[in-house]
Amino acid sequence: MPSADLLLQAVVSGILAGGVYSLVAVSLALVFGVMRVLNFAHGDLLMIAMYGVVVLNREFGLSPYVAALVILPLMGLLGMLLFQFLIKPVLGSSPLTQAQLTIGLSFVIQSLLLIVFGADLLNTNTSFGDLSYHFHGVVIGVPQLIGFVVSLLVCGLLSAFLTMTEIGHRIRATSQDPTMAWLCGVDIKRTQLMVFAGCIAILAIPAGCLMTFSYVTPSTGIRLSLLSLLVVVLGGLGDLRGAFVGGLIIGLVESLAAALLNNPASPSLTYLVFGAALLFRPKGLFGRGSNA
Amino acid sequence: MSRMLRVSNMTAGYGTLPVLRGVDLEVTTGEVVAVLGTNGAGKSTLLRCLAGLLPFSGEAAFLDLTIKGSAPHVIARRGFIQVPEARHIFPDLTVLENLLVGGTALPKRSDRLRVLDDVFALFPILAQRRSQQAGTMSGGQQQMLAIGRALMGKPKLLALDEPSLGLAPLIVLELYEALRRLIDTGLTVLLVEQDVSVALKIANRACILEGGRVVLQGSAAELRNSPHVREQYFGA
Amino acid sequence: MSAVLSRFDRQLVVWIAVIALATALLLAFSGPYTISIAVGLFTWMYLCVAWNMIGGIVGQVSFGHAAFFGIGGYVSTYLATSYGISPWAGMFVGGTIAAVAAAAVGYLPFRWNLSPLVFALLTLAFAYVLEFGVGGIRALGGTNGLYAKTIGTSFWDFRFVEPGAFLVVIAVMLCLLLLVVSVIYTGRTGFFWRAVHDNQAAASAMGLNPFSIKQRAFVLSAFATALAGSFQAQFVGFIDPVSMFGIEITIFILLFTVIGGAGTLIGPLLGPALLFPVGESIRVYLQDHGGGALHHMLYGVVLVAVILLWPGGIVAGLSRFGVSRGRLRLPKPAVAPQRSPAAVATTGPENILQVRGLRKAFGGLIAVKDATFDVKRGEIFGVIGPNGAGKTTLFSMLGGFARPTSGTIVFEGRETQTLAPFEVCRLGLARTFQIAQPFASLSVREVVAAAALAQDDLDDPVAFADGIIAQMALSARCDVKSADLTLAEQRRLEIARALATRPRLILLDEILGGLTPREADEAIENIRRIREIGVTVLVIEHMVRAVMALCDRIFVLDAGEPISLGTPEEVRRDKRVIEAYLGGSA
Repeated sequence: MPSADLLLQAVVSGILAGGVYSLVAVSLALVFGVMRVLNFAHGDLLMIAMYGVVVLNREFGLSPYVAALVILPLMGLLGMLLFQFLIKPVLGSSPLTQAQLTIGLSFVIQSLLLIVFGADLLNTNTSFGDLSYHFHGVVIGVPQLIGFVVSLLVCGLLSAFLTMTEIGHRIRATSQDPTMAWLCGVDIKRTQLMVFAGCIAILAIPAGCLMTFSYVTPSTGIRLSLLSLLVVVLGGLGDLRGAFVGGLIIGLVESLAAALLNNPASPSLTYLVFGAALLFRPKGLFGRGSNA
Repeated sequence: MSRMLRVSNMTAGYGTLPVLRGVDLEVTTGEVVAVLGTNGAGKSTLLRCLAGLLPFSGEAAFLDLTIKGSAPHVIARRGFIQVPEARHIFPDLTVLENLLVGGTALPKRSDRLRVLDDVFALFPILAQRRSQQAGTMSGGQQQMLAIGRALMGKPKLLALDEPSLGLAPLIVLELYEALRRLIDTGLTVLLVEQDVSVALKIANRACILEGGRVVLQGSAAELRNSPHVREQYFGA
Repeated sequence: MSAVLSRFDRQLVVWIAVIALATALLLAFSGPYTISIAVGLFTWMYLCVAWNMIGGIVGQVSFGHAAFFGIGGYVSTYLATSYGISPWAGMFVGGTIAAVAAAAVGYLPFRWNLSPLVFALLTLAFAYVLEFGVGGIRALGGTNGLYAKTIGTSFWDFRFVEPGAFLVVIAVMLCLLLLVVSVIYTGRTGFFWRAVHDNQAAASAMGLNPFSIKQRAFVLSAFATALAGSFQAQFVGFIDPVSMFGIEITIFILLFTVIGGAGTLIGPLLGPALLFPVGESIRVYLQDHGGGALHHMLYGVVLVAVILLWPGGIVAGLSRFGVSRGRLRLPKPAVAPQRSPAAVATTGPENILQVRGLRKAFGGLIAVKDATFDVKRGEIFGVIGPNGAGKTTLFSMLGGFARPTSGTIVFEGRETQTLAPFEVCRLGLARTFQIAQPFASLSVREVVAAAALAQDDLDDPVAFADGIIAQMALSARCDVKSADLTLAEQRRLEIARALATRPRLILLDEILGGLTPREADEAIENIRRIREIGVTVLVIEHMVRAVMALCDRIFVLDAGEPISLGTPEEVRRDKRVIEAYLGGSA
């Protein structure tokens, strides 16, 4: 049995990591809500942003946070292109066709990055990568803490945008009943394009945060895709609040499983939790998501 | 009196299955026209075509806008707004948010806020419950919200699909009372109903849709006394 | 002999011949390197055909077939290395364990009828649990993996020096699997699988049990997949969690099958056959020139392109050249079909259906409130009411599609309110559907035949189905896809499908709506004829006039409440009916 300190450390690390997962999952949930497409390549797109951060950091010496801001509009542009040429044609097809299409996209991204960057682990050089606070035996890394705070902040801003602006109302209306929103005069195709582009652009932020304390390889994408998918399904498809809480929970489960089991098998616990949630709460944590 | 909506020889369906088989219909400004018929006669299909949701062959024009090929939001922004069957309010949005989304058809925010006051005046209950989640309201209130949301776009022509569906008789009366007031302000209405007697009370003109064709049309009084209507719809 | 041969698809015989020929040619003329690529190709073809059973034909996409592949590989290897059991035997032990695992994974999603996406994600999670879980088990080599036993060179050790021997083994496995699936697809079972794929609700209304159909297909597919896993372990000689359980295996299976054409007989063969050799050539070429993942990218690009351009896969693209999806064939009717199907037994209690205090509440809303009525054997009983009166809910409860909140339904002396739709149907209570194009991929004749085949006690189901088709005046249209019928014909097809389950009571759901008056009159005649062959009829209708003309007795619902019950004359004069149904002022 691990000591209380170790457990506390696991809880803190889990929540910090979970905050970043939450942001990734919230953007995936928003995409699902507005266009009913479950994007299996979401983590791979995040990985593209991570490689972008690495390139800007190594070539131009930019801090990962600055690099993220540079990459953000480029990701938005990529999102627009992907929406026009890949997502739009399959809007309204069966969820499994959409899944297959985005799995294909994920495969393309993964192999493309493998060709360009090779299979090596890549990370960034920062002056603060190793800084940390010590609290009663619990170590809190500064980059992790910044990542957590930034993710929370962006989630908060996103939520304010959706509930307090008229554009936000229209986006939520489109997500609840697209046909009806269309009949109300909302240009839903444009809304979907902007939401998709926006959600992909947002990925630059977790990418910047992750690259301050983590590394990237071409197989990072599929892991993150599945992780964010898992969080979104756990939270309830299309339920942003559920995705947020789900991210924290998955972060916690991952970290606790690793601490308790201390065995290569520990990630399987996460998937067991996921399977159980899928079966017994198919509408998500709050029961407010659409049926998976 | 000018022509507002004109439909000629509209044919449409799902897959290879025709539901509308050559419908002609005209609505002039200030009129209330009822489209009547049983389940499956093609009433809702007609409205879906007019909203730009379903492709069709034949012609349809709203004012000077050709409906064929126009996207639903374009038609709505020109002033032809629908209240669909079963209301379709946005359940997780508040009443106020629902109404504001309905105002999307108006480009200026100041216009939207002005119309909002008119809608609140027409349905005071909506003003009282402005911050309530729409999905938690009763069926009758939701129907009022659906109509209010459509009015937020300042429609020139308002189409209503079975507004009385699933509502208690007393609520239906109340609803039609409100409709009456709207019509008195000069609003043009296309009313789709299967409740023939209620619809004929409020309409100037009506047409009967059977098997995807208009089989009978005329003034409300003519239809009330038509033997065909009495036999088919009143079972007498 | 010809009867047996007719069950094999002709295209399939061609494929088996091609595989046999290719194997022979490779053995005769190729070096070990080419042969090992061919082994890879055949393995992928085999896996795709196995996955296609559940993922394509039944339409329950599994994202976790790697799990079964890995189980096969690990079980046979572990048994061989630790207990010296021949991998040939271990193969079948692995297959059995995989089959049990599939039954366990599929049980809840199929039993609770969860959406295909839940099933897909659940299988994905299962593969991951195994991948990581096995990585943590030291007896199975952990993340380092296991080496297959290398001692012994006899046939029973399943370790051949020549790659050609492995090629023969996998070619035989592939041909056997193709024979098995073709027997399934061209027989009764194939009918049922496709019926469940096209429309599960309508399939259960034919008396099919969707749960057991999906479960069996999944178990069979998992079993077959595990055998390939054992083969792969022996062929490569080494296994580890990533190479046996990794997501890439499932992605490749999915990718090849979808590109070839999921849900078809030859798509899963075509996909790998076209892509894999090209991909391998690129890989080998690039390996000599600095390496790379270009072949993976090619697969991904082709997958995306095929989904966007040819949603049905290459097979759909080729269908214009006369390549079929490998469909099942029914025997031509030998004799002129009987004019009317055998009359139905008309004995039993006088009240064929007794409904007592039936209520259905959705949250606070009461859709049907305490409906109580009897349907007498041999009558035509009508249920009418305005839109939203609760007719459809009542109908769903009678057919077993919705469970009542309270009250009982007794059909021929048996309570049915807790039964599943297929059980209700098997008791002799059939229903039609309002939206009448349930089976997109089946022709008129196939739809009715599938319903007849689902009945166990018919001597000649196809002839029986043909008789019903003739009776419903659909003989001229029997090879047309049901989606291409006119509305009136689709309604008759619905009745034919329901009659083919040999019901004693038939529930007709608004089968007059949208018909022209002439078509409606014909339909009414048709319903009268159904009664003449001894079937009791319950119609739910919106058109008052038709119901008045047709029914012996009528039950009137308004806003969920029963308000009248009696002969058409009595109902017509009932003040409450006039008030509620006709709007009060008529």
